Amino acid sequence: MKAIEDERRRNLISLLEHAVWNAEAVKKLGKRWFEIRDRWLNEALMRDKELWADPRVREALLKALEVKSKLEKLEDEELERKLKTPG
Amino acid sequence: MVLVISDNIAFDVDRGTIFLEKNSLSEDDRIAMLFAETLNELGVRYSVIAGYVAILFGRARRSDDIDFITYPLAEDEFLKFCLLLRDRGFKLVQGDIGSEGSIRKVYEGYLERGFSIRFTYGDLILPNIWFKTARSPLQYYGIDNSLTVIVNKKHLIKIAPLELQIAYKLYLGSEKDLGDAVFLYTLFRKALNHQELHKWLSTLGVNISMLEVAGSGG
Repeated sequence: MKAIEDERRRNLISLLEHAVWNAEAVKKLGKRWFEIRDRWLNEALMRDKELWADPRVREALLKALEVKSKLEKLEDEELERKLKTPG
Repeated sequence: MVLVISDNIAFDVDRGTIFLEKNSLSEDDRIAMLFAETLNELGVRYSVIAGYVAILFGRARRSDDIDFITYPLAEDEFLKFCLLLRDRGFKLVQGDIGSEGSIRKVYEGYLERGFSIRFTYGDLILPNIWFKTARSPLQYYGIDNSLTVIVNKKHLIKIAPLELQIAYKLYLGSEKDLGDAVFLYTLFRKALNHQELHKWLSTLGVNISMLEVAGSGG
């Protein structure tokens, strides 16, 4: 159990360090960073578009979006309750 | 006071305006800017929240949705808004944007009841626009105190205050959200109102320790 927790903690620290690195890259490289990042984003999107050409994939994704919206409403209600509860 | 964050990002703290220059817009940016432009044209008060804000400022990740929260809209206002969006290439996930009856049904069945709705753009399914009207004081605060981001001196989009977004992302607590919080904190650390940040951390009952990792950077 402890080994799993340690592993999780290490993963989280690594993820947060990567976020710090990402922000420092934006600061140092500026416009150049956005060029690199956007090229990667657009290439990934092109690959997705190929998948969405299949109508079964499209339909399944659209259904998943509807369900996701309903789950988000439940999360909002939980937050509203938390904000109303003192302490 | 204008703080230079990088060679393409400057933050005018007094005016609550961030200037961003990019050589070109990503597909995500184009969708977000077009949607924001439609809200701006109709004079609807809104703010963008969550993942897209980090992505707008250079976070290296993808997002399934671009989240917009607006002040409540009357049914006819929503209809007008949808028709404008339809002309610009958006579709409604929960209904037919080409039919007035369907738009009204979506309003009554979703927006009025506090459910979010989604708009897709062109043939794209992801990212899509996640859209809802404000219900909680936190959401109204995010709109009333929004920052203006001006992209390439041309596009204007409103985002919720960074201090609130960072605290809220820590509250949500997924790996993705924690990463976004640390990213925004590290990038804008010099420009943040730290008193405001602590207020939100305390309101949402979240610990600042995650952000301390960011403290070691730069």
